Amino acid sequence: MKRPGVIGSILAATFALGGLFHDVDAHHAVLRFNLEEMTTTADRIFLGRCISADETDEMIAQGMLPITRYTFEVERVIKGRLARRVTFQQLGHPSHRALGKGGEVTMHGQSIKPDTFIHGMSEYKIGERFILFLIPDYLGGKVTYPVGLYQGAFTVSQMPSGQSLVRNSINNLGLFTAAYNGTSMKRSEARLIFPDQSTGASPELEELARKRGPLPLEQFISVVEQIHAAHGGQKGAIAQ
Amino acid sequence: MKSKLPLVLLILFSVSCNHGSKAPIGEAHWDDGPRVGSLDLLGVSFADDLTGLIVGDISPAGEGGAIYKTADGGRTWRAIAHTPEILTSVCLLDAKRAWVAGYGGRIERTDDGGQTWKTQRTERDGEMLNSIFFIDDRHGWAAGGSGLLLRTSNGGDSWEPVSTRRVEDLWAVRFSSADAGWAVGEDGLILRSSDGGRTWAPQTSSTNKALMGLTVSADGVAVAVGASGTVLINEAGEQWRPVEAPTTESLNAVSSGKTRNLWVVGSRGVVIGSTDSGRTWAKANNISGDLASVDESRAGRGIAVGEQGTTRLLPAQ
Repeated sequence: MKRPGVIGSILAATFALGGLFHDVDAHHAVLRFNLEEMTTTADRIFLGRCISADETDEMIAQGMLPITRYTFEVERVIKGRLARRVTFQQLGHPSHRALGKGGEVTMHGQSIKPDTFIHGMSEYKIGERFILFLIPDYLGGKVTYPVGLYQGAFTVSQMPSGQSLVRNSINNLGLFTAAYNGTSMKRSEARLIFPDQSTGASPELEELARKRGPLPLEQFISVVEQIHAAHGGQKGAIAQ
Repeated sequence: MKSKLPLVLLILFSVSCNHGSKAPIGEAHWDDGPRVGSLDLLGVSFADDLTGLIVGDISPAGEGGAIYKTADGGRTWRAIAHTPEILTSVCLLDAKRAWVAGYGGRIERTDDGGQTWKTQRTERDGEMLNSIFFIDDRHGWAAGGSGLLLRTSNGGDSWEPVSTRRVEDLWAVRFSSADAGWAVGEDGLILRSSDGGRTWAPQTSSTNKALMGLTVSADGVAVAVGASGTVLINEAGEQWRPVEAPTTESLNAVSSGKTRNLWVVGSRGVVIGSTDSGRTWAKANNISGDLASVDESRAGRGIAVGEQGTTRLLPAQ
């Protein structure tokens, strides 16, 4: 079985259907999401800590595909109703620390296996905290990924002052300025984020929208909750 | 008549040396410049009164991002190179030599005014560079996410990572000589080096606001700007003190300090200026759009860049 072909065709089909890629081979050729469209596109948004990451293969779409099964200890649910401990699967295996041995394939300084690695797929280190915006499970409900791939995965870092900041791997670029791309909503349906004008929303949102780079955790969550509520969403909760 | 010559010479000398005594800030008028593409512009640098470069975001449509060049002081720009990475910062040493830096820790250099670029540093997983600065053709520094600091002493042929033991993102790095410099970042972080960037030590900023921009003026005053209208200056090397700014907007960048004139830009198009190396500030005319970077030529021509291809121009004074 030629894994790249299977993975490539499945990715092309699923991502193209979702309007995610213009070109599945290009890492940066991913549709940009603003925070409002990111929030409406995700079916689960939560803050949690990664507690396990298991690489395995699973029968998906009539073929054995590499997947990584992540488990998170959930601290707070912003959208959806989730158990205290959440497990989800992503296609592909993550990169690893390069050993510098001959024949090792590396990308961005990390060791990868080309037949199981998917460029742009988010990876989570055990022990680290994230806010994840996950799309609805696809391929028979077996796998998911963050909205806009790396865009919907926010690392939480604690500053020496005690302040916690969140940012994704493109330093939150476009969260308040990217145009609506039509994946889950149109510009005319916008409630809080208007990339082409001042938001006219709360001072809290205005302040957040003007800040470049990492954003304060609590303010970020509050704005996502506002967006979710503005679209008629129920408050997220941990199922007991 | 002969007896008046020394006085005339004194006046002429005084005028020629007083770089900071151009038109008062309030009289300077920033105009709308041409829209340069449709993507967010993140960095700008002038080499002289005519030549400048802009870098920024890349197209999500898959065409990559552009490095733009002007040869007429910012009136027109053309894309001179496409890159596969978001570029955040550019430093022109002169009209020929420049460096750009961006996400993934990527660094590129040109020696022919931007016609060709050599990749000096390829992407590293999880890295991000926000600022690059060269004080001459050999000594340079780059700073970025999670306390990342790099230094070179061979023009960027090799870049050495420097341990800062910091988790804060660094937004800007500047040196006043090959030895003495600062880096500033999130959470009010200020780092000081006096050995060319080999070692760094924190300095007290007395703020936890993000510090986004940094410069050293022509007379050696270091100026840091940041969130909520924060402006700090350092005149003696150790102590930073806040100075009053006529705005509470987030301040994202400060011009490169070729003279005692400084310009600072930020959110909602705010522009403030100083003619005394940052000791006092006044607000310039209101312009629209969030601005990310600013620079000024030695002759006083200014350019600010920001969201969705926005440019703003200050005619030479």
